[in-house]
Amino acid sequence: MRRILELIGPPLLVLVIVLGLWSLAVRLLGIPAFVLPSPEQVFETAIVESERLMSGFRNTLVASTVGLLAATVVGVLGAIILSTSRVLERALYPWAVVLQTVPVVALAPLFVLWVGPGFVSVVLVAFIIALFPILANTLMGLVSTDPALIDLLRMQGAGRAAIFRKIRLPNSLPYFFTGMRISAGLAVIGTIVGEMVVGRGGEKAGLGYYVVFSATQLKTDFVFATIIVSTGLGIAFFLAMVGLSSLVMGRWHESELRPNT
Amino acid sequence: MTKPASLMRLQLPLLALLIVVAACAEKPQDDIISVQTDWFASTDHAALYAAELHGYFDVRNLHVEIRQGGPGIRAPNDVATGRATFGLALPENIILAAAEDVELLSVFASYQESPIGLMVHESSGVLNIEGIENLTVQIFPGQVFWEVLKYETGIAPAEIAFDGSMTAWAENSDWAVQGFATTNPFDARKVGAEPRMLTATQLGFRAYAGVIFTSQSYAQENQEAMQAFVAALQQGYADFLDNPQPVIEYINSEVNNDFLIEVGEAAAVIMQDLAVSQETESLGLGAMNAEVWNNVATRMFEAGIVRNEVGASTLWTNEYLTSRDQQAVQ
Repeated sequence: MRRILELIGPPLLVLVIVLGLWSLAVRLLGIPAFVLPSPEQVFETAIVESERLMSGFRNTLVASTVGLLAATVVGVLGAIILSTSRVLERALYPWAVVLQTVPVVALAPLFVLWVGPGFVSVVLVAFIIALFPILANTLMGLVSTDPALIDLLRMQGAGRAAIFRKIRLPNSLPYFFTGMRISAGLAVIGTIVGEMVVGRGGEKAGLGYYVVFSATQLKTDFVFATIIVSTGLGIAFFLAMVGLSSLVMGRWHESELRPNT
Repeated sequence: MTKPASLMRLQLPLLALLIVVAACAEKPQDDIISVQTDWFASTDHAALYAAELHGYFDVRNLHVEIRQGGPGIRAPNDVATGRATFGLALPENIILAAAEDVELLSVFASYQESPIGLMVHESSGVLNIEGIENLTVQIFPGQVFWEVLKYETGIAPAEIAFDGSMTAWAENSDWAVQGFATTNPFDARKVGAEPRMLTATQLGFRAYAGVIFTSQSYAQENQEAMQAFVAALQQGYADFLDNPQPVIEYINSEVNNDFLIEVGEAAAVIMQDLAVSQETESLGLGAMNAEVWNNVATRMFEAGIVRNEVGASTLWTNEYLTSRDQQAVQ
């Protein structure tokens, strides 16, 4: 219990202070609600609009999860393929960098044309944004193994598959999870950007759609409520990756074993 | 206890950054009247650009700066926060702002009937709002006329966010897309589509469009400037409707090269009908009436788009307009 308090206490205190200052500033400075609604008003709106927010949350959660899973599978497989040959890495890695730098929002209208609007297009945006950190970090982990360890296994007659399983793969895990932590948040951002540009409305509307919807109708309090729920989703994704990382590496890797300082 | 040196070093650049940000924030200078439009320059803003081109602002000693809009630009926000003196938007946005206690005053309506609506394919055979039920509608989320019509008719077609491109619509004959009757059908024909434009009025939602507004406080404190500004708009718009070509060429060559001359020419023909009404005949170009404003405000409230019923009577005025008879006398 004390450990949990130590963990969540400081950020919670910061949150309370920020909310207090925000509320005070709105009241004292007389800031109009359409510019900056008070936290109380945002909370009230979140209650009133809870049905739409929950539905948006579910739709964004599903699209983000599918986008992240797709990015994980392709990113890891891509990293394994690139790690097998320096020639392949030199030929393909620059294109992965190009993919990362393409403005995905500009691609969205093309996605609509190629695969239709809605879910698939939104997932594609999330996938492209989330792919690179997983690919780059996993590749780094796979190729940066200690040569002495590989030599040792080779002396004992181990083949490429055994070296991969026993040295390269475990070595890449911390890098992989670093990539996953970055990509988890990016997948949510990608989904929301996709929903803003090519998302579906009505029952299939995600949080990104509601951001544009409420901004169009000057409902800044609803925009804030949507942003807060979106941020919560991003944090939940990040924490899920931290938990997964701890589950997989908690018993053997120093990054998970280090004592609290 | 002394501050760490690194923190001290950070302070100066941070202060400089703050000063730069503050300096960059667009605030209207006292003697400049800034006008924030809703989109990239086109004939939908003809009254403004005609007045600028023909010098109608200059002869009245008005220093007017027209700022083009674009995606994400919301003129009511800019006027309400003092970043612009005047704005151009749909009247629905003025009602939305009023519901959030933002006091704006509309003084000139460029369109008596809004050219905004849904564009369908001729082959779809759709002629009215009921027919839209079976289509996929590509529309900017939260568009008021659409939300009201959905509420009133109970239709619930599939919807997708409008990304600003007509390409996907052109490829799908069972789609409807948000558009402006003045420009989008022309664009659609250029890519080989056979469009049919159903304006919001034809679909059952009559409203003005291209409404020019300012803050209530600016109007109260600057009566002379208001009178002069609106007179310049009226004079410019009348010239444009009589002879649109110079204004179209001005917008194309001096303001927005992407606005094609042929699009402007096609728009000008459609505007001849949308810019005038019985009201404008008697009160002058830009005139409005209470019935249209009240109807829009009531329907927005009934559809749940605004949380509080907005009294529309304080949101618009014909006070600064000059009728043709008065112009003749002057």
